[in-house]
Amino acid sequence: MRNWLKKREFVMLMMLVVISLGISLITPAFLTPSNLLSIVMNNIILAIMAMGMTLVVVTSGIDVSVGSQLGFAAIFVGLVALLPTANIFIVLAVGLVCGVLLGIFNGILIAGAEIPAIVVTVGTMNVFRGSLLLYTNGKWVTSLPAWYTSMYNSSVLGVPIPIIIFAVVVAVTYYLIQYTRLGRSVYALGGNPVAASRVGINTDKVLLFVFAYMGALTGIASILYGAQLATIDPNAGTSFELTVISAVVIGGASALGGSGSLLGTCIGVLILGVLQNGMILMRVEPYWQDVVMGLILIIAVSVDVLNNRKKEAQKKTIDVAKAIKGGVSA
Amino acid sequence: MASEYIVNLKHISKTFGGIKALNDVSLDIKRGEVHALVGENGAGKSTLIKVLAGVHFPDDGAEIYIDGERTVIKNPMDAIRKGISVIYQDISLFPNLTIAENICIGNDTVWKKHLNWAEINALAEQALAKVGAKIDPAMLLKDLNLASQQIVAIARAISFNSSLIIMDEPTSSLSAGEVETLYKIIETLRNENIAVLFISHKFDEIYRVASRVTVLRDGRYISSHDLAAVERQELIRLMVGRNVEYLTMKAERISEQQILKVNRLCKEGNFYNISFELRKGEIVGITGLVGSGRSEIAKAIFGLNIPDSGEIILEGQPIVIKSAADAVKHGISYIPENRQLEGLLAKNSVCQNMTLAVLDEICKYGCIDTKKETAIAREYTEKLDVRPRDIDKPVGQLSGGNQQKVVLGKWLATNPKILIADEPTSGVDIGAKIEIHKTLRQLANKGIGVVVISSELPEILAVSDRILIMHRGNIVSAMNKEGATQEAILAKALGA
Repeated sequence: MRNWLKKREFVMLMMLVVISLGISLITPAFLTPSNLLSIVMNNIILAIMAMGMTLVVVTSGIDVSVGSQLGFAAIFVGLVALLPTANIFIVLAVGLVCGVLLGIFNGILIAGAEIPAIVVTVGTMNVFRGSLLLYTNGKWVTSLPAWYTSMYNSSVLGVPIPIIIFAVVVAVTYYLIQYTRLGRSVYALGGNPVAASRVGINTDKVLLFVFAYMGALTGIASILYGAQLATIDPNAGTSFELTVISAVVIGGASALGGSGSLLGTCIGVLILGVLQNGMILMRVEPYWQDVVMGLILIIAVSVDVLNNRKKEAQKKTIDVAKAIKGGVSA
Repeated sequence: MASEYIVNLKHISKTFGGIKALNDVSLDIKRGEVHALVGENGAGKSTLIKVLAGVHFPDDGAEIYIDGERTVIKNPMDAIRKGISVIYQDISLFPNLTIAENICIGNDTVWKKHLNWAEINALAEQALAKVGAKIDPAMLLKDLNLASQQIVAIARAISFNSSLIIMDEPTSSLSAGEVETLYKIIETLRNENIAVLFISHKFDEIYRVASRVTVLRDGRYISSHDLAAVERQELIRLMVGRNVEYLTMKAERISEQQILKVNRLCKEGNFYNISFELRKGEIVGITGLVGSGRSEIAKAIFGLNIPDSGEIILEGQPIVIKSAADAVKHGISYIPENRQLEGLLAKNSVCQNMTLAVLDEICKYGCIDTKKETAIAREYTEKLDVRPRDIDKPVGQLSGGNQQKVVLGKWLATNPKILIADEPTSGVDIGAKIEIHKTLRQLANKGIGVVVISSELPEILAVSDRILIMHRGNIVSAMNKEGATQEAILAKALGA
């Protein structure tokens, strides 16, 4: 299908391939199985959260509190893991519940009180982080038990656990947005909010769900976070929200709402991950990394804007059958 | 036995903030007929269809019968479930979803908690087939042009088993070929015994597709007719209202001196070959239906809409206007149609709003000279009688009429040679309208050339010395105040 080639995801995929080839020409160490796996493993947390952020951006919302949510949930997961009676299931439940509650808090203010998402989440970003620092007094959570930290590097049937968790998140999210009324309502709300409520969609409920889901995925990410690093800083995740949002936008979700796909977001995450990894391998000064990431974001969005202008001119017309019974001939 | 009528509306009134948009309106639509709804701008057509669509809830006392049974339309989905669908001018569906989703969304038979795409696509294909449309239902709606999106909206209405489809000016942005396709589809609907309520300004279309017509005027029901038994002239007479009494103010003295001459101004898709002149002390009124190109011309003269060709001559000198700043420099002022959006900073004070266009003059070394600022604001609140006389009050808290005076004041402060006012009295009460008319006349008497754009015919007749009538981007007629009547103007504006 030629349509497939025109898809935004395909363009981004090509961009990813070009970047990867470029890097592998400079440093042979890049294109090795172990390095590629490490790129994936190092960006699982980003990818999981970006799945949730895709839905948020589709509603034309934004959530800048996810970095703070990540730190908040990670600390509580860590503290629970230190309890003698804890096991992996309790830890999972705590991470999930903690994330969902923080997400619902955002969602109630955004959907219920109708405060713009950017305002609410800038506020909660500070509230979450501040209360976390108050509670921990700035102290790290350390010496996490091995049964917890080993989770990150163990495998089931040769597949690392983080990748399995990510696969489950993708599958659930894909099912949600593709095969459920709720998921399609998220897109409908983003495409035309007035029409959405006119066709009977409870837009408040949809918004509340989207922010709660964002929180749930952040909660899951927080479990992996503690397991990966073995110590948890109460400042964990600071400004991570910007990376999450960048990945989603590079992946093609429009900030105006209505569009955004899981595949696109995955490619967005990989572009960021590959660039970062490549620049480390090429020993580029770390300050350059921020500059390059920022430029990639701007380039990706500019390409979109230009493409949309072109598309405007090539809209299709429906052919209507010449002879409808009794119809006027045209 | 099914009723002969699919919808009967009785005693429909709707009040918005004390203003009656609809006043005891009735409407009867027979099963399977194409019924035209006509009336001037502001006659209440849009409000009436929104009541039918469940967007607005009518005032107490309203009676709605569907298929002979008394009912209440609670919300838009309720209207659709009861068989009433609306195709809005802007389509009002979901550009980012597929055609199939746009047809099926909200349809309980397929729009279930867990979606079965085969079912959804099948229902969509079935609905599209009924209008004879051949298209892949998996395409996104935004990849279709407007006419095709309209067809999708009609297919949606069909899939909900609508017995009445309301089309709000469906042909306003269609090409001639697309209009033919729409007629064909309407014919199909009629064969399926689906009634169509067709809102249009275009008499050719009405006589071509509709069998009956209902006329609204000033929010009231006037009459219904079989179209075969009513002449165009008669319809025009019915549409024109006489119940508004404005003071007609004559010009004191119109000098021979031409202040503005517009020569063969063209802009593709907006207006064609526009020529007119404006003399010192004169008020020229421009009228026509919404979309006839009135506002576009005003914007062209003010530099907001750059014409393709033609010239603008100011006091004998051809001038080039490429931006609003150029226009202001040449002494041209423009009061836009939507004062909330384009003309006023609602949260800022009367004083700040009035001096906005003369900031350069009241600034000293880049800082605002507050004494000068207040002096200017005081002067024009006095002159224009803005109430209350509180120049520190946020403009948003003033009444509509007084807001409009602030906009006027803002431009008068620039000492304009020409003032263009686009619908200067929309949304203000009758007293304020007359005040604004008086102010415009005073300005003209002081030697300013005034252009007033209005779709309200009594207003155009009351304020203008000369009237230009537009139809589909052309000036089709120019009339002097003497001898012009509402009927004559409306007939020209409708292209009759």
